[in-house]
Amino acid sequence: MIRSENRWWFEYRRIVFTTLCILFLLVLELRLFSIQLINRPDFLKKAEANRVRAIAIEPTRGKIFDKNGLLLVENRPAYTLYAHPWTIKRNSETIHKLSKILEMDSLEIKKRVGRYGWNTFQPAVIQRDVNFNTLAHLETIKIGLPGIAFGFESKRSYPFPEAVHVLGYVGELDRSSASKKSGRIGLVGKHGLELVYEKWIGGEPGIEYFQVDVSGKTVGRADESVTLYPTNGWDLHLNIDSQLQRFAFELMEGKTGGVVAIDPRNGAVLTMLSVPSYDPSIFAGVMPQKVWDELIDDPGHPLLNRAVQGRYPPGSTFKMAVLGAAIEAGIVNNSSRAVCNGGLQIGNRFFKCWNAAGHGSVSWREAIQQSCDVFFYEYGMQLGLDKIADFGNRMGLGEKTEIDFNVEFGGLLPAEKYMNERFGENGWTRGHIANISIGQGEVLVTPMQLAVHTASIATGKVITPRITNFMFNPETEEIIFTNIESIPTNIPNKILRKMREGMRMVVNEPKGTAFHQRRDEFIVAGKTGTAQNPHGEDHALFVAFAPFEDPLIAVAVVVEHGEHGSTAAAPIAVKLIERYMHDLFPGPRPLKRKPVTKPVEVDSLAIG
Amino acid sequence: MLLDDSGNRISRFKELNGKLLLTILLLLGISLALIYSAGNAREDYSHFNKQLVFVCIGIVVLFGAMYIPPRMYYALAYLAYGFSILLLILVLFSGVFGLGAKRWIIIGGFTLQPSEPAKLAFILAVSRLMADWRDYAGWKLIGAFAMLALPVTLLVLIQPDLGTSTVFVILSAALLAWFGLPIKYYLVMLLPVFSMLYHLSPAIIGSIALVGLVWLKRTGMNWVWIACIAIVCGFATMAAPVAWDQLEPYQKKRLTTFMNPGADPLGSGYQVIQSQVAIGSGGFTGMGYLKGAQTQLRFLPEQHTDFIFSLAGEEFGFIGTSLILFLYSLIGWFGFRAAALIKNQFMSLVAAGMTVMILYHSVINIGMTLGNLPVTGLPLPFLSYGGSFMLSCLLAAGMILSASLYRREY
Repeated sequence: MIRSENRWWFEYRRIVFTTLCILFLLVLELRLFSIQLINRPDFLKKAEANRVRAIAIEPTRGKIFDKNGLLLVENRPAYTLYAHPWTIKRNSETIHKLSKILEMDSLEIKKRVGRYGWNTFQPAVIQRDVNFNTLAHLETIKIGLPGIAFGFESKRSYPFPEAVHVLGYVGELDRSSASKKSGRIGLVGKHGLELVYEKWIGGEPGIEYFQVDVSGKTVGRADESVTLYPTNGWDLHLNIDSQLQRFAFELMEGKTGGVVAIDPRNGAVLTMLSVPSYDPSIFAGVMPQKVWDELIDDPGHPLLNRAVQGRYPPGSTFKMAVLGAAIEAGIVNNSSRAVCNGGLQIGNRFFKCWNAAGHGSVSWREAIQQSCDVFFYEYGMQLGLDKIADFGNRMGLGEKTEIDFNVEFGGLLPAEKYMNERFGENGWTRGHIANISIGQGEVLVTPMQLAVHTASIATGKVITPRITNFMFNPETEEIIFTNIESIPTNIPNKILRKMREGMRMVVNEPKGTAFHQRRDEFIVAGKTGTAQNPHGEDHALFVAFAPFEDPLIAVAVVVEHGEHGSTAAAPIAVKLIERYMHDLFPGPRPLKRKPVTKPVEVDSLAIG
Repeated sequence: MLLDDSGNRISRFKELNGKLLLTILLLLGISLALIYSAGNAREDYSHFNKQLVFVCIGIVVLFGAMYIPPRMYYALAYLAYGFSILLLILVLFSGVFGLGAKRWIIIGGFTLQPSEPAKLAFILAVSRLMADWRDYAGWKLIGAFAMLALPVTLLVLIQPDLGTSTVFVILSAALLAWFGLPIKYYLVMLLPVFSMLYHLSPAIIGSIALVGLVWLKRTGMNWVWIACIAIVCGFATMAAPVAWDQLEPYQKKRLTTFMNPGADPLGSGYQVIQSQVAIGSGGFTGMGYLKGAQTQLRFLPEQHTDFIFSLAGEEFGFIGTSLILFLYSLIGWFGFRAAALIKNQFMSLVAAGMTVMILYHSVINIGMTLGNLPVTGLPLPFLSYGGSFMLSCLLAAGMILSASLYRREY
């Protein structure tokens, strides 16, 4: 075929080629038009996301003071070593070098760096509170370790081991709650007051915007975004009297259990103690798994806050509520008596009184004073569970106290409905009622509930216990008090008076189960309790309020495996009351009771 | 002695295409500015300094090439081709490894990428071949053409450098078209290749292939031959998946990422996304010279080589990118004009081939930075950093200018 025959082609090939070339370039031009002129805002936003990093400025956490202004929790400066995962990913030898210097497993470091993902600039904490030698060493070789950085943080310090259960602890934000945008790496409240008042003491982090280059290195401030300064946390002022708390801690040394002291007038929690305790500083950093496992496996369960989480049968401390319910129902009056021969036959089982010799014929006074079980077996069975439960509920038992704490066991006050559900309609007997009437069996309380219950006997209203008195803003000096809340029990005064009278007799009249604990300066009203424990020795309980005429303190003490309330728990409670009264009214005071030894008369001395 | 159309004596300098020369010099100036900006980002101006040297040498080469008459190129065509083939074989044995391929050799301290001069040598060689065949266009020419095209394409392909090997395919097609190869030969050759894409969209590809086969009948081809071609197409369809398996993993990844850059935002899609962000944030007037955040904070990868257009897009905006596209369209305009006007058959093919080469690189590279074409690693002519490519582009431009300078001579 002869090529040159195709005249048309040689005429037009230049136009075809040029047109094709311009057509392609035109397509590109249109594309540029769309990217650069129409979609520019989107790309600008992406460019900004590339180079602008928001770094959280950690607020200073509020301090916590006790009732008398004593510092319970403070902040101390500490250096934190953190890493930028995005950079570390590209410089994997950094991890290897770090593991040598920090003497940490490199897998562990990897886990920590990658906790928020590897393709992020969000710094991840490798080690908190780095010691000074390591810090100095790392600082000198920092150039060879791309991706690591130091931060200055304040670390929580808890000087008082007896207060740990109240204060709780702080920990790192978990991944789900860590706000990716703000990139917070700081600590937040995880338990106790640190958690409950996180909103107040935590403060609000600020945000600073930095410009970074492709390696994640900060090259300056991002001009277009305004720095948001952090709001520091408020201080917390507690009702806790740390001296009293310390004293209780010393009294409970070597024991297991809980102690609660509240002001019955306003619900201020003066002491809230649980022993054994633990060292709260282990929660401040990244906790090694081994330490955690040890805590969990400890047979003493140190993490359990027994004051609000302990589940104890109230034993005889329950008897005031049963008595009150019986008087209210009209079953017991001043002439009601029961004959105690050391026990009572109910059905085919003999229910023993704690005193095998028997109390003889007892009225309600002796029944409380000497803690006669038979009296309560008899009248409790007449009364029935519903009335006991209803009365107990109105006096602060069987329901959460709504204390300002993050964990609380609500207790258990079994009504007939509960028993039917648990044992079946006919699965339980009068024997169960008799048992519950003396605070054994299904009924469960916490020390905090017992204290609130005791306070309600003393005042006639169920107050909501408050650990915190007020929040204080150190910058604006603003003060916000916590609410004082109470629910009236609507129980006639004459019934309350009888319950109080019984408690007074326990401590202040001969034959009373806590007669040995009486004091001269003020009158203590109390009640011993011994709760049967299927797992070992009985638990010892004691509840009390004082002074009898004008109650200023209500106390509940539980000593696990303490055997007898009168010997194990009562001395602790009364010593605590005594200490508190001394603190309130220092120096000599008028004696409320006739002293055991008569004072020598002044006149006779002068004559003699 | 040089005569104009009416037989008067004229100066040769008068025939110089000053506008094309100016276009190229302007691009070189832009290149230096952009590479300086990229150097500013990493505070390392060694690329700028080297590029300055390459540009200076290149301009000398450009002017030298411009004054070399077509008969010299004709004489050297096969020699250059043979030499290029030797270098390409050499690179297979003693090449420097980089980017997953052996592409460079070191000669006397300089790194040379033999595939760059090979493009020019290939154009010269096939132009001479076709010019020698003069009026004949048929299967014998195609056979001879393939003898030249296949070795060079395959040698580049096994480096492996898929991007550059497509340059040879496109150049072959374009040069045969410029030569005037009738359309039926294209159909016969392209239908099997086209059939390999069958799996992407069976309905569309299948129907287009059928139309092509019917068209062949219109050109007077025998049914038997058409049936044979159809069978070849069928085999090609089946061979496509096998060929796909032969691709290097990074090549597959580039091709699949091209289809959907968002699927792998931190892998190979990362470059394209950052490039789009850079161009897009430039807007109409750009962020200002040395002020593009994507560039200066180095989020834009390969900003002095493959993605230099994105740098221009960010710092000079739509105005800057449009100017660059306009300058390339000028090269196309003047290049094909020179190719069409020269009387020398050989030099016409050379000028057209060089123009196609420059424009193909430009379109592919810019399409890549915009995310419209796969990341093939083809640099941007006259703008990207790189000595071998800069020199071969200026040599190519010199030949186009030579074609316009000697347009009256056979």
